[in-house]
Amino acid sequence: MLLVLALASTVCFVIVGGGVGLKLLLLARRTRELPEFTVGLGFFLVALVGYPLGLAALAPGVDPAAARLAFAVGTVAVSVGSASIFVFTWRVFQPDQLWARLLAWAAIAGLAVVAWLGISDVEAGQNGGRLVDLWLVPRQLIVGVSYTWTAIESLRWFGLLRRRLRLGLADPVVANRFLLWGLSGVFASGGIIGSTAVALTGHDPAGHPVSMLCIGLAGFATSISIYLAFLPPLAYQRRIAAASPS
Amino acid sequence: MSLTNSQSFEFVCDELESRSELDRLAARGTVRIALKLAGLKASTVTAEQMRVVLERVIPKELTARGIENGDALSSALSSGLDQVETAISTEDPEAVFKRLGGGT
Repeated sequence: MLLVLALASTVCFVIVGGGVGLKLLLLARRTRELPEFTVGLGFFLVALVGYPLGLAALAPGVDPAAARLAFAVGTVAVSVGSASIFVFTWRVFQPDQLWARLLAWAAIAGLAVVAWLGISDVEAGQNGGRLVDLWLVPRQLIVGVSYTWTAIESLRWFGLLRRRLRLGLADPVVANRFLLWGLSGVFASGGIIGSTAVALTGHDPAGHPVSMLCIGLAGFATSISIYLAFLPPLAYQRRIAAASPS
Repeated sequence: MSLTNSQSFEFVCDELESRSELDRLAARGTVRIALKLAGLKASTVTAEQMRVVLERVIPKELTARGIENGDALSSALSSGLDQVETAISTEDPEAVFKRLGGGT
């Protein structure tokens, strides 16, 4: 049951995240602006490349060499995608702050190093032939920081726009988009915390009931949030606008 | 976000200081509090946004500070905003998120 939940939510995230990523990359091609490119690239790489290849690598009966290749490419995709989210948060929310620049570059460097170390470990067979590398925890922690940081910034802006809404100085749908993006960061962080906690106890998070439950719930919640944020149906937008205090 | 304040903010602070009994620090503090209540920032507030703050928020703040003609004073400051250039060079997160929800 938990396996079905985790798989269904992963498929849901691949479809929704991939759709959002493609939409934002197409938007970036038209506008030539960095924010839509970075967040679009992040979703595209994580949802459409990283997750499917990560699952393929763990599938039973897959040739070991092909599984290692899928693991390596998937790890690089997730790392580059997470780096894109760091750049998005830095450039959109704190473009003039030195600490934000340093945090983003430190995270990018960290992602590159732990991805390289993780792939090297698996290639060298240093983890008993398993595809869960020894560098999973640090990699997950850095990815978790990317979602947590963007959630904090976005929810802070939602607070500002709620005040503007009372004065008719903000678009309620845009304010709601900040809330949804912030919530998606909270949900994604929750999923990562759950699976990382399992890894820290010495268990393999792939297949463990706690991590499957966390990934399943977080995957669905994140998918719904980003769908409503970036691909909002007209009926949803009308409902948000009608409920606005302005 | 730029660390310098917008021209709208500077204009309203200067005018409030010269037209009321508030000193420079009190005038700037009053406008900053009003902007915070409105969810706006001194660095990016536009003339259009400042007009709404002058109409809906600042009169109450002036009254709270013992200034009796708060409505009239705010109205006069609002009229003066016509001459203020408020082009904001940096793109704020609100503009980005508005674009991200748009069509391709």
